[in-house]
Amino acid sequence: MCAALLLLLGLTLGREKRDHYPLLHTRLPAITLSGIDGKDLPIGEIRGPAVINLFAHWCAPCLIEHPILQQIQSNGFPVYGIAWKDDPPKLRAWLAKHGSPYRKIGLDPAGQAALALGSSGVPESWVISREGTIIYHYAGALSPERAEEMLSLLKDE
Amino acid sequence: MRSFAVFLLLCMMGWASSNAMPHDEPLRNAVLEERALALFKEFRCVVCEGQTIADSDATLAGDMRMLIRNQIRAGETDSAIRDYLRTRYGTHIFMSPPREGITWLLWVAPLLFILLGLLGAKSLLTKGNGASEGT
Repeated sequence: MCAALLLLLGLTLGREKRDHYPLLHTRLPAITLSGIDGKDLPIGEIRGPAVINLFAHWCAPCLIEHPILQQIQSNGFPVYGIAWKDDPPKLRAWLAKHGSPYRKIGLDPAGQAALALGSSGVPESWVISREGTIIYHYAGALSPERAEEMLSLLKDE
Repeated sequence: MRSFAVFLLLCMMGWASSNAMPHDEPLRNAVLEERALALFKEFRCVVCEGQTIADSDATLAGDMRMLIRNQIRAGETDSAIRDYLRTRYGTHIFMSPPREGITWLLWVAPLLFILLGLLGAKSLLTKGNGASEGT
């Protein structure tokens, strides 16, 4: 009985910690970021099928997933970037060098947009439905397998 | 003239960097800051585990401290701030799991285990006594 209780506790808390993203199937938070182009990016007004990607030019895994985002963009789905604690001139130079998959980029110097999205760091990605709800979330660098999952959801929208 | 220009440039760079990376600074109102410090001890640093955001040097912990101070400054209650973070990070964000739903088990489990242990010990002793009386 003790073992069963411990197992139940472990399963419950483990699921809470690792797999459960509380904002899944909820509307995007009503936050507006200053865009790298000088225009505002209202995150809460983004409508899918689209992807939001939290990244930074200084983040090595972000460069690893960069081709995946370009693949999503080349499939006709807009990718919106949230540049986390980034320096605009260095970010522009990085995008000029590696190409930009982003339709728009909002700046998040204080990391408050990331917190509003329940993020724990860069890189992190979300798939957004036509209604503006979060239908997929992934923390970490996107792999080709993740890209397939995301593209499948985006095409179903 | 040239040194003044360098000074001016350094000032501008300082402004730009402070603009780019805001810091979490203590609230000027001591009572509000005390509330903020108490709240910091309730929340787990999600990237460093085992540490509260009060103790952590992680960037994300600093951002959370700033968020809490901003919300206190904006007039939010402690309960509203807890709800904001719980909505985004789940109950795992709390250092002490809230006493609700399945997490009640965490609070009653130690007592339950002690009770089971006592019952087990009693049953063994009774069996032992029975066996010695039988011989």
